[in-house]
Amino acid sequence: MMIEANGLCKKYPAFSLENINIMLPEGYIMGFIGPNGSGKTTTIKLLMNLVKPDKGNIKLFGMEWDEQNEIQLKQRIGYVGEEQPFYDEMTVKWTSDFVSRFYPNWDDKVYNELMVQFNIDRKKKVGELSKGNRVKFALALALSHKPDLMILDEPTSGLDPIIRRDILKILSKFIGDGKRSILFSTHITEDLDKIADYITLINNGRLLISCEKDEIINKIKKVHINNSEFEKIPPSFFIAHKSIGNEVIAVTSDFGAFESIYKNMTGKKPEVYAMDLSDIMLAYVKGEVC
Amino acid sequence: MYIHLSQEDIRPLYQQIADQIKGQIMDGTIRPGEELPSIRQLAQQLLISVITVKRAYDDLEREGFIYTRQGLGTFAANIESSELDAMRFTQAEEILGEAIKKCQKLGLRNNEISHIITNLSKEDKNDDRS
Repeated sequence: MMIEANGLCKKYPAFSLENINIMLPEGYIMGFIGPNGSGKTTTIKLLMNLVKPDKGNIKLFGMEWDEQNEIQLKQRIGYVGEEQPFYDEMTVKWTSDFVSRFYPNWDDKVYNELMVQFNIDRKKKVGELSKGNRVKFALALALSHKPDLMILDEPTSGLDPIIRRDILKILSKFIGDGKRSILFSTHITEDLDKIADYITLINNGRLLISCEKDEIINKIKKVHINNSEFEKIPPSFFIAHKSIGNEVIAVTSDFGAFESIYKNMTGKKPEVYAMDLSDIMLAYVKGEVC
Repeated sequence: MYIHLSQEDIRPLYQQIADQIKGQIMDGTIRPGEELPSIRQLAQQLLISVITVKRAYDDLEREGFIYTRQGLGTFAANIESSELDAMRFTQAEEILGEAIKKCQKLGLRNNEISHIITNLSKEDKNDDRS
């Protein structure tokens, strides 16, 4: 396992993270979603040992954090956040020289290839880079020390779809050999609809879902039934619903079970619609159906 | 191998992939014995989950359209032409069955529906296989 987090708890005066479990095997991308302020960044800080949990344990690459292995584990993580803490007055070249000194595994060949691919001018001051190039540069720096685990905290917010697609290509290639993994936190769920292998959804410091994306998509569906049918089915089947006259659009969290009850009751198949991750998040977090 | 995925399609992504590969094997675009991209290669090409592609390949393998040789790769199966014909018929029945159901819902009678099918197949000579 790349990430094994069990029962993570962390209390702050105005916010608490409770019982977070995350499992991410080698070779996959996990999308980490939830509204702003739901605890994504706090969870990432716990995983990276920047903050200690009150309860629970964390293993990265099968090892628990301790004083002996802290540097070794950090070498194996590539991190890109929403803000890149560069010295804006310094050049791109100065910055990469500076960063590379901290990483014995730094690979100039990987770095040079990425910089050519991203078409970033190394003589420019970092402060002069566009927002897209700044993120790409941060990504190039993180990838050049050849990490096994990439942790991305909202790096694509504010970027246009073309640059986001470029980044997805790099990420897909990164896990291509099946040995490395990515934890990708974002509120732009459409970046994850296709590429994510696993999804973890949190809200208000609580874990709502953490499993294979395809399993979520297969189980959570929007059904269109009439009011009298809706009233006969136990409410526990539904996460959210809305009534339109005599009809109900409802989101079920277990489509298979719902379908068999519905068929027994009415003798027909329910009318069903697929949901994307943003529809699912809206249903879970706000109880709304669109 | 070209696969087109659509978010508007009601079929899940793994099924869109499996259906398109099946279609390409049946119409001869993918020849018997031809090597398919690996699961991870196709996932990268389509920017899609590895698990999704694996599920599509598992389904295709179970239905006998492809086979995997450990360490060598994944290949299109050598399907007998009689079997291929049977598959084409099954699929045609599925497609027409759906369409006929919809026409019946519109209130058309069966002889009217077959009349339409006969006329349409005369018009569209471009698609004639024989």
